[in-house]
Amino acid sequence: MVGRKRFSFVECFLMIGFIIFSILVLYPFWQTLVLSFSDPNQASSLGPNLWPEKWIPDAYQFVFGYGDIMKAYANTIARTLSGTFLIIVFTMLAAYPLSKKDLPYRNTITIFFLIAMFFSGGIIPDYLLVKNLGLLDTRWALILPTAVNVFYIIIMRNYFMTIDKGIEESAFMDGANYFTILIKIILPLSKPVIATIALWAAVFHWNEWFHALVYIQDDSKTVLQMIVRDMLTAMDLSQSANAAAIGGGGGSSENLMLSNVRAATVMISIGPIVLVYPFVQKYFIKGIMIGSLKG
Amino acid sequence: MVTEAMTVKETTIEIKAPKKPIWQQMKKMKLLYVMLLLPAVMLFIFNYLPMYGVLIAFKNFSPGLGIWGSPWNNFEHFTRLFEDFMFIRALKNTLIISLLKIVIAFPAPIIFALLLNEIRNQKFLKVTQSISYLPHFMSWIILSAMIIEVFSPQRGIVNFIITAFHGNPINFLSSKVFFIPVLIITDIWKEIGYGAIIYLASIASVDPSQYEAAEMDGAGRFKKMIHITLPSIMPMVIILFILRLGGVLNAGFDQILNLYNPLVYEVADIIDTYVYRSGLEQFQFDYATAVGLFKNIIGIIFILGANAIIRRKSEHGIW
Amino acid sequence: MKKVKRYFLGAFMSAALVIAGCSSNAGNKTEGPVDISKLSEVGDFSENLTLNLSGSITKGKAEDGSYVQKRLEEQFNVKIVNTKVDTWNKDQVNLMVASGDLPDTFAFTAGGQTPQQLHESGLTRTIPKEMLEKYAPRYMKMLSENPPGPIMNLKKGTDDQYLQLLGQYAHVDGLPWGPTLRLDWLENLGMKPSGEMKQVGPSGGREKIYFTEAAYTLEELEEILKAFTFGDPDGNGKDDTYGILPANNNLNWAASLMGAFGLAKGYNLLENDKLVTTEISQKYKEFLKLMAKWYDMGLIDPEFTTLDEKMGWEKYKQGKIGYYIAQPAYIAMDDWAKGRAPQNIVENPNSKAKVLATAPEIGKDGQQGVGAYLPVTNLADAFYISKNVTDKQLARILQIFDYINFDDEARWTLYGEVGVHSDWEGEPENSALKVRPEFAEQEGNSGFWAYNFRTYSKERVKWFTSAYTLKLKDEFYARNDIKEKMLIRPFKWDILNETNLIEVSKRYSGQLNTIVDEFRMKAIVGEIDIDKEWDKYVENWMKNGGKETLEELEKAPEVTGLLNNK
Repeated sequence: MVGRKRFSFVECFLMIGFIIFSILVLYPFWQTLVLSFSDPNQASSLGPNLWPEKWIPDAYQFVFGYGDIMKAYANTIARTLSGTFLIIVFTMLAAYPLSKKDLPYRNTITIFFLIAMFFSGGIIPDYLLVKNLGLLDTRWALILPTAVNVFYIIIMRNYFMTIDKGIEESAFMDGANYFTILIKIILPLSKPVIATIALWAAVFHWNEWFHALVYIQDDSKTVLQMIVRDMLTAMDLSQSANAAAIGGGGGSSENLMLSNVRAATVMISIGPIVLVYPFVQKYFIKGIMIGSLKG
Repeated sequence: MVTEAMTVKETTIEIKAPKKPIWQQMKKMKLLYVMLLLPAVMLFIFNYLPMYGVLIAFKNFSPGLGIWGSPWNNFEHFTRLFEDFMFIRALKNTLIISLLKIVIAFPAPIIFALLLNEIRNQKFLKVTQSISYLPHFMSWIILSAMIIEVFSPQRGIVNFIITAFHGNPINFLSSKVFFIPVLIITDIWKEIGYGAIIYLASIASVDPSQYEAAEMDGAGRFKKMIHITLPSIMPMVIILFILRLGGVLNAGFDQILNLYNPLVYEVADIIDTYVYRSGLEQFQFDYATAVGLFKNIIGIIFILGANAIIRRKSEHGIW
Repeated sequence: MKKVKRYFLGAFMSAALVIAGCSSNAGNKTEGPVDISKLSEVGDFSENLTLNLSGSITKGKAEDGSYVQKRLEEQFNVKIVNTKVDTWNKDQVNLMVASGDLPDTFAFTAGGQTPQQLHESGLTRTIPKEMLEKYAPRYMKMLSENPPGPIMNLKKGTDDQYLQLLGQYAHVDGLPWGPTLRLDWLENLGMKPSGEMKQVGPSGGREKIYFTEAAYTLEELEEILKAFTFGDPDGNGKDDTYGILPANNNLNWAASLMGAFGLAKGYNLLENDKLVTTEISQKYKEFLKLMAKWYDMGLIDPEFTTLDEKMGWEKYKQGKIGYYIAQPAYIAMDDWAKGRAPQNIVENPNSKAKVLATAPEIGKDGQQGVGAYLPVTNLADAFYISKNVTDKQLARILQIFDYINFDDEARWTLYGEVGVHSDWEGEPENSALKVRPEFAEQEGNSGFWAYNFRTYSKERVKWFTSAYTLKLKDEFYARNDIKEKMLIRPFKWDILNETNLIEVSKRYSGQLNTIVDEFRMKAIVGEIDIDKEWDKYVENWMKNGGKETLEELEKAPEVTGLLNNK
């Protein structure tokens, strides 16, 4: 970065553009936040609400009283962590060999993986399989069937293919095997793509509800998105209010509108996953790889 | 770019070198096969074993009889698809919307990443990135209500601006002309930041010495972007592009379902919304499976085609 | 190498077959006549039986050992196994069926199959009339009081084997919808109606809602809508009001307007001696032309094309719309109707708005009415008995069924004991029951509704309907002469499942609905000329499954005949 001007006209122009863009992108987020704190009269009126007349936490009370939401939170976090870990491990294990152009039968194996991306038997055989494996109503059912993701494998493989072969070759000379090379050389060199895929996988596991819906029967193992889904698809509040009562709690729904509750649910459900990003972000900073290259 | 070229050279040399017997090569790389074993077995169990389920597409499925026990039906679900002119229209709309999205919305995150890369202020960069990724987490149910408001002919900001310039308010979401542009713009708006992440990751791995060398040669900002940054993310762009083509018959179900209305069916009714509206998804597993199979086969054809074309021009195909 | 490959393949495949679960579970017990004398006497519960029960529209949330479960187990000497499946969820239901774990009783369909198909694919057993008469006499009595109840759902080719049991829907009795107008606007405009107006209730916003038995003609309504649109009825000096706001996703908004043309959505009628469905009738064309005219005049809010019913309610609440359709429970401000138009405009205690509900509009030749909620008789829903249930089990199941669903003494299965689990909302025995907050309203720890079938006698309707709604229904919406005069029923209906209508509609409804919805919207907003395009529309409709639909409908019996066949 030596000798680069700290500031320029182009950059200034770009920054203004990004600021406008950020406002556009923040708008729905802000609107949802305001809605979640609005009183029902305001919530049920059309038109932009940029500031609530009064900040009312009722909707949050209602959602937090819905079923065992804290348990669902914990389950989702556990699922996201373990599921992401599994995906990363399997993705790396498959992507590294497939990145070797001289691997015999490489294309055949690639196609074996690709086919799985396009054909699936549908939910009934999936369910019977999970049932016969004895995974039904266990947490494994949420992370094992999705542990191998062909899309991620191809992305990572592609990234591996752009890594300079020279470093690998010299490690070979030093007597390292493929496994140590993967761990000691490829892994540190691939932090950005691993971070990206970890983020994708985490977002996937965070948002996934269908498997939870069909594989999990025990309420104590349910995930956050199941509750979100209940709220978003409920036609009116009375339906979810019933469900809240089933959960044995729930704030008074007297002063709430469905739109409040939905907004609050969305805010609650995206909170943690949105906060993950800044932590992953450091791997996207340009020049991060320079140290590892020399190391 | 330097490293790229080197790799390419190496592989060509290897290919030209006298071939070792395959088993010898396999023996040398046996550890790699061991690595592959675990993911491959998992894939076999969880993807291949249940695959017999596609048979449903060729049967009159009855849950009581099971997948094997249900009677065959002579491709009835497929003939039905093509006898239904509504389905044909939905297929056409799906292709149009999807291809427009590929042409316009697919490059957006790339441009976004390239431009973001030009910002030197680290704090600004980080904040912008973090914000841009937010809308990805909002569901279309929530977003659609806002979009309808923004484009409302009576209260919407867009029409407010139009009338301020003495134009007539436009009912965007009921207009056959404007509906698709709205779809594409809102799609970009929602996904651009999230989509840019992978490109930012690719850019992060570019060797900074390349920039320094280019600067020495007197290359400006724009030149560096075009000649260093863009080529470095090109392999990723190509692979994502091919994979995106595989989903060519997915034109954005949730988005359209929450935004459309009968006045724009003519341009906006896609396969997924049509099948959904027919209540078929609800009750007819067999028909829905047939539609899914059809969509995937078209997707595969697109992938094969794109891969073949790209292989001919460059090194970066899927296989 | 190849051999090894083959060996592996074989091993994998056989593993596949085992793990992937290729078992078919279609049991095929023969169904002979039941020797009823060998079964236990009514009320003889000496043998303990295990039953896997589920109610209707249950969420699978019933906890083991709930209040209702324990009490039922004791009373009938059974052990109840709860069904942990959300019956609202088609995936869960289909998977449950596919894996062969059906409960002994259930009230959902799998894969959209008809009762006949469910039976043929080996999922359900038939229920002999003889057993029903012995073990469920109250149910049979209800059926016979609701013709053609006793001849519905018989297995093809039999006259004493039922494929399913039915529920009584007294809660949908009467006119489901009626129009409302903004009374404060009418007053501002000096158009106060002449007839007698009554407040719906004394408080809670109900004092701002009025009801009159008088009705406007379509011409009078048009004048009112004109004044609502152009006469600045809210006095704010701006031209920002509209007469009427339709919804883009259904036709509820037009229930009484269509009624003024003698039409009801989804039904059929005889026109010039020809059977036609509503959507292709000349009367419907006339209705569309009137709506197109109103749209052209500016009486219809043009924004309706992007607003579904729910968003329409929100827009109504802003106070810029004069006319809205309502169910009696909306006007009476029942809890579940909270937030819906038009009552949402008076919810706010500071609101100055007033709403007037009137009788359905009067069309040409004095035609006025609203489509009946159920086409023929107030019987609906389906209660199935699984194939695996033996006659002995069935005898016990039917006795439980008859007790909890048709004996009013069994109110505790829905609301527990009044004063312990629930309380009257208003006057005892004459208002709705509210479950106390420490108990689950449904299923959960209380087990309420967990084993019940959705059947509501007149008495049971009272338990969940406010006194205000009941009063409105008694005084007008469900009064016998009003029902007689204003309920619109289809001309023919396949209530006895004698035709292939269900298959035909499964196959073509997607196409047909698309054609109808598109034409309706375009016609109203003036994108097409109704007169010019009509024939093409009808032809298109016929070509895409309409013809097949009409052919099947022809085979169905006439509704008047069904109703009089006592």
